[in-house]
Amino acid sequence: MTTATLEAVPALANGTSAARKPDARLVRRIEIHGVSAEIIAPRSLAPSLAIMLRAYPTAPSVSEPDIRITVTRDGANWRVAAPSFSYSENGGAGAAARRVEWCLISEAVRLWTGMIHVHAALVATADRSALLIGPSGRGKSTTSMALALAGLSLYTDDVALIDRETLRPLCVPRPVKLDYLARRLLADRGLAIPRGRILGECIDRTILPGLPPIDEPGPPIVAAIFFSKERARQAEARPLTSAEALMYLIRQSVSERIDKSGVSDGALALISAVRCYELVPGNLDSTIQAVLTLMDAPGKSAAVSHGLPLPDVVATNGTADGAHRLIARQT
Amino acid sequence: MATAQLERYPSLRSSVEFRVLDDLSSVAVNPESGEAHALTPVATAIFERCDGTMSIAEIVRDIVDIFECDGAQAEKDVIAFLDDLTVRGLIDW
Repeated sequence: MTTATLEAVPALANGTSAARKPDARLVRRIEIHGVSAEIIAPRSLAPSLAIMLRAYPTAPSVSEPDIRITVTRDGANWRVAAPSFSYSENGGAGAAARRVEWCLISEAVRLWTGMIHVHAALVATADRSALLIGPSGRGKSTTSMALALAGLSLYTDDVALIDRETLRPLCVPRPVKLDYLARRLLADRGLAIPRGRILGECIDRTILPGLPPIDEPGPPIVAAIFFSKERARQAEARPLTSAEALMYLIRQSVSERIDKSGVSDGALALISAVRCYELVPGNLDSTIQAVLTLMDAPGKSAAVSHGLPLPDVVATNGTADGAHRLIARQT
Repeated sequence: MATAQLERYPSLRSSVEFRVLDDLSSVAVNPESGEAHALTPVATAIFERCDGTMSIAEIVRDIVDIFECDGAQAEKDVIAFLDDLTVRGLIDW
């Protein structure tokens, strides 16, 4: 067994360090939603990069890609250089590969000017989509993967892309991040991860259910569901006003903002087109059921509430928890 | 409440960007503080009347008519809300 392993790694079999031997280069070309990328990396990064990038569409060679990411290695130190970012990673090939994919998507979000970006999961039935919005750690990925296991399409679990013209969603085939507890919870619902298809918490997107066609826009978005930081035994939802939803949305978006000239048009258009809710997640069954129910609800937002008792005026705009206060990003 | 106070005229600060949304909630952005505020439909109804031509008493009357609420409670809440808007730098007097 030991001999076979050494033969499989010529540098070691020859009695030299693999780190000292020149590492052949691999080139991976990607094109997604009009943005092209070229990744140049040591060949030893190939297995880790495959897990991170397998679901991205391969592109033909172009002389000048929109994004070029170069990975170099100096002993245990990996350097990942992208147009806007440069990082040193000393956590091994896995950390370097995760950084490559992060740089790829971060650069692409800057270039997708025709898209609205939201830090959200996006799931779809045959005829309608829903955004599950919220900061990391609120259960978006677990809920959306559970919905994918139940038969819905999963357009993304964290980078939602929406066409500004049509407001239709587009698939972003990043690896899905699920921690150990989430994987264990979802194993009961049929999640199976073959050996070698997971890197840290990142799971090869191609082996997971619910991957839609990447080039085809999904069905219209009917609901934006904001995941609360609170938790309940059973999931509970409440309608949001458009203004509340706008605030929450902009906090979770790279492309949309409030600045001195007001609210960006994309955020306004999106919020105007969908029903908006805040969801306090409960156990997974009740959270899934709540999302499905909210997706099925008829009509535009039920948040119109002219009859609110007046004390709500002050409460909603109070300073106690700063819930509706936003430090605007300056242009 | 003193009559004099009810005869004051609040006015939206000219630098404030104010946008009413489809459900009559609204967003008010104060570029001077770099803060944005989400207003409920009721708050919006008060805020959009702060144009320098309506007194507090007139705003209260409108709010009572629109939302069919108790006059004394409306007066108390409108004044508290306007005080809040003043502190936030969104209106002048």
